[in-house]
This record gives sequence, C-alpha cells and structure tokens, in this order.
Amino acid sequence: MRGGLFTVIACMAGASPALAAPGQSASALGQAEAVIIAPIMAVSINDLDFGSLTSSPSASGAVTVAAEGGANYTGGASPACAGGGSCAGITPARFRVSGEAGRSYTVSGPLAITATGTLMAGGAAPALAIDALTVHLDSHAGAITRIGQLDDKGEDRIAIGGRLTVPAGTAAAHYRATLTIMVTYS
Amino acid sequence: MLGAGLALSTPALAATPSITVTADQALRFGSFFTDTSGTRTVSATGTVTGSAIVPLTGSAPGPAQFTFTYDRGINANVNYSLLIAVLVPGTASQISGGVTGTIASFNTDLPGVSALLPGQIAQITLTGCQSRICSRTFRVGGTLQVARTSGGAELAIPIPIVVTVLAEL
Repeated sequence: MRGGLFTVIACMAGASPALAAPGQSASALGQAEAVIIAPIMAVSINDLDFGSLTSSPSASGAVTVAAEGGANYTGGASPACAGGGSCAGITPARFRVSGEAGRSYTVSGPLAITATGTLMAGGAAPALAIDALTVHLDSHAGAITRIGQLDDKGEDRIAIGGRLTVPAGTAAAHYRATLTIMVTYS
Repeated sequence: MLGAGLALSTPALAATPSITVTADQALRFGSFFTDTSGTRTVSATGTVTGSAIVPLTGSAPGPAQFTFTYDRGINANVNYSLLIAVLVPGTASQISGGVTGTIASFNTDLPGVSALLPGQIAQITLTGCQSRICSRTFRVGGTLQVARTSGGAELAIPIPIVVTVLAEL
C-alpha cells in the first residue's frame, strides 16, 4: 500500500512537463587573482676599467680586474701609474638590478669580448682579447654565480671582472669594448 | 508507518524551493610578466595559454569553481531537470597602479555552454536531478587582458555570478 502511494506521487510529478519553478535567483561573488610582475632591469653604474698599463716589447702579459675589485698584473703587463701601484679608477663593471622583491633572476652575458683600439698616433690598433669574465652578485655574498635574488626592496648589484691580455709590443692606444648583459627572472 | 505515507502525500507540507550558489575557488591566472600588454587564458578545464607574457613561478593557474544547489522542497524520488540562467553581470576589471586587468570573456564547463559573455544570459539545462537536493559544481575560466604602464600589481578582481532557476522540467 505504501509502495502504491509512492508510485502515484512520482507519476504526478513526472506528468508536469514544466513544473513552474519560482524564478528564484542566487548569486555568489567569486574572484579572479593574478600577480603581474614588475619588469626587471639592470642599469650600468661603472664600466669595467683596466686603467692605464704598459706592455713589454718582448713579453706578453695580462691584467686581471677581479669582480670583487683590485687588479693583478702578470707577464709583460704592468700598471702605468705613479709608484707602480694600482691605478685609481680601475674597477669591475657594476650594475644595479631592480625588479620584483624576492624574485630570483639569472644574469646572462658573454664569457669573452674583444676590445678595439685607436692608436695614439691615429689609426686602428690590433684588437685585444678580454676573457675570464666573472660575475659577482651581492645577493650571493661573494659566490661566483649567475643566479641572484632581489632583496626586499627588489634590488641587487652585479659586479663583473675580467682579464685583458696584452701581447708583447702592443702599441700605445686607447681600447674600448662593449659588455652587454641581460637579466631575466628565473 | 502510515504517518510517513500521509506526510508524503500532503503537498501543503512541502517547503518552498530554494537555490544557493557558492564560490568554492578563485579563478587563478598565476604570476607572469608583460612588457606593456598581454593576455593569459585559463580554461574551465585548466588549460593555460598566453600571449605577450612571460609565465613566472608562483601559484598555479586554475579555473574558478562554483557550486549551485537547488532544494526542490519536496521529498520525491523522481528524475527531473532544471533550466537555469547563468549571468556574469558585467565586465570584471581592476586598476592597480600602472596595471589594468580586464576579464572580457569567461568560459565554463556547464553543459551546452562554452562562453559566458558579461551581461549576456546563458541558459543551461541540468539533467539527472533525482532527489530533493540537486547540486552541480561547475568551473569558470577566463581571459585576462593586462595593460601595464609601470610596475607590477597583485590583482583581485571580483566575479559576481547570478544563477536563476527558470523552470523545473
């Protein structure tokens, strides 16, 4: 008997093709979230400067500027400064990086570049090689690495040192090279 | 035993039908960089695509999730369907500093509807309801258009969803 009652009710409901619903509405407030990261950029503060040096007519040499600062002369290369000490103005290349606080980033750049020169007497001088370009990041406290992390202000500093090789008998000239780096979020 | 049978046969005791919609999860576009403008699309199924953006590590992108619940008000073991209307009332946007984010279109996994355009009603038939309570969880994706003039921003854009029951079939 009870089963019969259930059956009747079910059939009645099923016989209503469009049982009028109340037209009630309900709403919910969802949310869309996104984090748009500020661009990262590097601004040059100092050039990589090897200073003034002399070359031997018979022995090749090199001057190395460390990323942490300081210069080291080998072979026929020596500083052309009063007293023979390190010349003022010798510095590694320095860049200030700014971007999103706390983000890690990667420094990309060449391992070696070529300096072109202009002879004191005029005309082009033979190119000189600059290699052993090393990267120092403040965020890694002295470690030589190419992956850094921006601090809570979104900043970091990069220093790049390198070695300039001076062949024997290199004529007096001014040399210049372009060192391009790229910083990208990692 | 007889009392139970009488209660079922008395329509006057039926409660008024009611509906609720809850927002279970936000639509997450994740973290990315764009130079001046770009778009990122998160589909209702979780597929992520982008244009003129660089995705970065951070929270994983994913669609929003909503749950629609219809209380028929009658205890009856019958099959029925619901004709509902879903509306996103307007364009969702936010300006934060030098960043403007706009969601101009949404997509969903609700049956028979792929796109939800702001201000346009989408009608959907939900089949397979069997008991007094009929509940459906659905996901909503979208395309976020970002225009950037400076800096970055954390965007939190409200997405109102309105669901109306048009008919019980």
